[in-house]
Amino acid sequence: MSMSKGKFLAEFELYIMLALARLGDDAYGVSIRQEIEAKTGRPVSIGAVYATLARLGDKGLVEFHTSDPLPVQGGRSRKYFHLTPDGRGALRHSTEMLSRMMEGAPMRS
Amino acid sequence: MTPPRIPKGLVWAVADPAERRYLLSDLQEEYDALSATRGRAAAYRWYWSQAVRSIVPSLTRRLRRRPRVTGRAWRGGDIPGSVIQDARYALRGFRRTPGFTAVALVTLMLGIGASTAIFTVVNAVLLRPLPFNDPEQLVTVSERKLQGDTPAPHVSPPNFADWREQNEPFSHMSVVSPTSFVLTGGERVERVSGMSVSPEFFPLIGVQVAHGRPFRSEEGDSDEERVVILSHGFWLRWFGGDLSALERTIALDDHEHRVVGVLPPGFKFQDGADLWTPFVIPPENRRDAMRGARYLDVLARIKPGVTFERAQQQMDALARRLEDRPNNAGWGIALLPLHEEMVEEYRRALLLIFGAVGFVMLIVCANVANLVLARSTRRLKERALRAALGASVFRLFRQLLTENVLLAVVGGGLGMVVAHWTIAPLVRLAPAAIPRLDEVRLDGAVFGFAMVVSLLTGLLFSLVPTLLASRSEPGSFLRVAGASTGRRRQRLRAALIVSEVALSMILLIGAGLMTRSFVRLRAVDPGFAFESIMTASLALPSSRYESPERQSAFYARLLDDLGSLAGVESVGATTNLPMSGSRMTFGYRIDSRSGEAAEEQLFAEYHATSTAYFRTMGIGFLSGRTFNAVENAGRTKAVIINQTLAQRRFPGSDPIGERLTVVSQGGPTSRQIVGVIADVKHAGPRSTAREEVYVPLGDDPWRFTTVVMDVRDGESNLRDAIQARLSAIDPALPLSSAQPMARLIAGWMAPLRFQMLLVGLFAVVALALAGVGIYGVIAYIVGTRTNEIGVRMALGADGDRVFRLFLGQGMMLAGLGAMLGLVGAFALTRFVRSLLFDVAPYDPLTFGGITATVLLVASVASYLPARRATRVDAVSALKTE
Repeated sequence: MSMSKGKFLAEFELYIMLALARLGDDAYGVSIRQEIEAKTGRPVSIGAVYATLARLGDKGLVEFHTSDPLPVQGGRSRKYFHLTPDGRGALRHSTEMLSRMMEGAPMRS
Repeated sequence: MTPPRIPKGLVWAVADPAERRYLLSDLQEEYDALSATRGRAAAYRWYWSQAVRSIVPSLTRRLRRRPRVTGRAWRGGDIPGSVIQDARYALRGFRRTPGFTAVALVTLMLGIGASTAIFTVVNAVLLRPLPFNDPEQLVTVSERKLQGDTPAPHVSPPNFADWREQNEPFSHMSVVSPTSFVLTGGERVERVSGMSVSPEFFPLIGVQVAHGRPFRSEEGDSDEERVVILSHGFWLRWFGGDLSALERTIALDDHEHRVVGVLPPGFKFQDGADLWTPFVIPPENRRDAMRGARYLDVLARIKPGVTFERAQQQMDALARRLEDRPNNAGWGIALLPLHEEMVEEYRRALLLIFGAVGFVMLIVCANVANLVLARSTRRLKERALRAALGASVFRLFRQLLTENVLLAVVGGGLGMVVAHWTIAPLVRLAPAAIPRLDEVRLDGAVFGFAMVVSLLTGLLFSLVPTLLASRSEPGSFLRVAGASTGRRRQRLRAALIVSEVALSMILLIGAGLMTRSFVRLRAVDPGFAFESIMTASLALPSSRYESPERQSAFYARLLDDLGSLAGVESVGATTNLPMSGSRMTFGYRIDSRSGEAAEEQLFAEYHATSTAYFRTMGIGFLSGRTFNAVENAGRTKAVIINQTLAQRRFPGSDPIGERLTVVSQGGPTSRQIVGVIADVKHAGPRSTAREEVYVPLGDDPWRFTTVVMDVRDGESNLRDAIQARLSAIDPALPLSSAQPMARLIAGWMAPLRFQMLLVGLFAVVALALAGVGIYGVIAYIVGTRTNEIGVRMALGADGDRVFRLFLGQGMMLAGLGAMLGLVGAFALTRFVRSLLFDVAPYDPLTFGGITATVLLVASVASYLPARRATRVDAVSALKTE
């Protein structure tokens, strides 16, 4: 059993939720993965993105809707994700805590 | 764009079933975009890395998730819940012991990776069937001497004709004769590879022409109307894939050939050929006098329903019926499945390598079983508790099995990645002569193999601890590593180590013997000087060089011209260059003994050489001399024989002046022996000398020859110079290949080098694994006996004694393993005898050297934990009691 981490989000969860907030209506697997990879410069696997999104879904912070395949050959099936009101709350909470903790801490820039 | 199948399957397998579709669709989208922007290869690599890096998060997620209220994928439960529970439990366990998990995974990854890579090669070369219809019905047919060794497995034209008319077991028979043509009519003169086959060849193989028609049977009887069938590749290259080619002609060897058909794309037989022509046996070659001239390669298809054995029996009977024909006495007919023929040389080597893989996998199993044992000892308490709470032995076994299979499958997955990156370098290392190497690739069969190996490995190393555990009553678990169980475990672990050492010892000895063979083989004197020899092959088109006189004149002028080139010391020419794979075998008779034992048909390898050939190649004369001008012109008939023929047929007497009647293209000719040369390693450095006869090239010219030149300073620019001289004599004549003799010799060494490298690689991996195993066991023993060491030290034992105690234990295991390994090697190296050269399978140097190496590695592996034991602090050790 993984212990509850209270209301704090794990680092990667936070990245995902920030990506959702930034991408708005266009947040699906490819765009989320590329967004995080571009911003952090770290390689991100699609499996990790989906696993984390599912975990956030369990916590009620994220919902999704699916798009039907486009009516062309090999048309894509996409699963679009967005933050729930709880999710937005958790994100606000986490970033607030983070910025409070960072206040006055000597940071190398 | 289709993404690579294996990583796609990997993602499909690990992803949550409810999300698979979206995940794959996302991957596909990025893959397509990447293919378009950065190219196929980059996209391919990206897909692989995405798939591999998705394994852990996806599996972790699936195994950890809490039962969900919503979501349809799990509701039915596609896997029984308790297995998921077991797996989840196992994952947590692995996370708690990262050291164990990492070592076990790396061991499995290396073992499975190496085996899979090797399997891929074996699969392509040996196991995948040939790309023909019912390939198991295809056989090569050749004449074979009933007693003694057969000089060369070929068929004479009259016998082929008789077989084709009289045989029962075959539906088709065909001559297969690789050839080459000089193609004119394009921008420049070109040499094109060809294959000359009987008209029945294509129905025999079971291949239909893609366009046009196959050969007609009358096209094999005479070459009045010349026809040609094109390979698909040649049709595209020469005619741009235009169907009007079927009404056109092309000029081959200055004869117009009408194009009648085009083969399907992808069809490849032997080394492949661009042009296919009907093989014509002229009537004069069907005379009885030609029965001794065995030079045809024959392929046949056994009729449906006839077994290979039955076919052989029927052909045996036919051989007996034909035995009264001239030159046929004592000859039988041998069938060999085509598949075997194509890969026979490599079969033994590949099986040897497969054996090495098996050994490494056994060592991997032993190592992982050791790790699992050590870990399960620490978990005895937990298992006891579960047993006491009512878990059955089966349930406990299943838990263990789940853990180990999970471990093995993840290790196997990583192994696949290792294999994927290993195959390309492996193929690059392999000698190009291994057939069908270009068909090597990872595919479903390979994937299946890796999975089966992984599962078996998991099962195997689960059984050992379970058998141990289930033998004791649950109650005994609660006594916490009771002394008896502990000792039994240690004995078992010791036994595993001993067998590991023994296995790696056998592998190392095998590798050592092969290395010694290789060194010996390199030192072999081929019987000629090759360092400074440059070779160039050429073939004269039959149309312009029909008469022997024209051919002789051409050669005389060419040799003269090349001899005047700067840097060329000496020039010669021969029909069959040593170590080039080219050879002819003809019958001969000793004139003075024609009365006695007339029935005995003698055979010798036949060469037509220029006068200066022997001097150029540095081949020594034991007695007599080379041909003189009169003999080269054919005005008196002369022959030179080799040492082997002289010793075998003229023991204790001087053969100079004796006469031999030698069969050649012009029929039998009586010739006087004028010289005896030292033996030459004609068929490679491992070959034993055969009987050989040499006749003057000017007397018996052939359309193909190889020119040899003794060159002062290497091959620099020589090729162009040779081509220039050649063009000066005949502008339409291309040079087919020019290469240093040394390169030909290196080609002979390549297969052995490849085998040696692979077995050596495996042996080193095996030794490393065995070393790690010894280290692990001794370290573990030191760990469990910390208390005892403390007591000993407290009672006055010094560090030295403790050190010697543990080092001694490690060395005892290694010594025992080495002994068993020696016994095993004695028993097994007999089977590699045929791969060895000039080294006894019981070579004492190899056996001794390897034993010393193994003991050295074992002592280093025991030294480290033994040192640790001496640093045990007596007081703190006793305190933990």
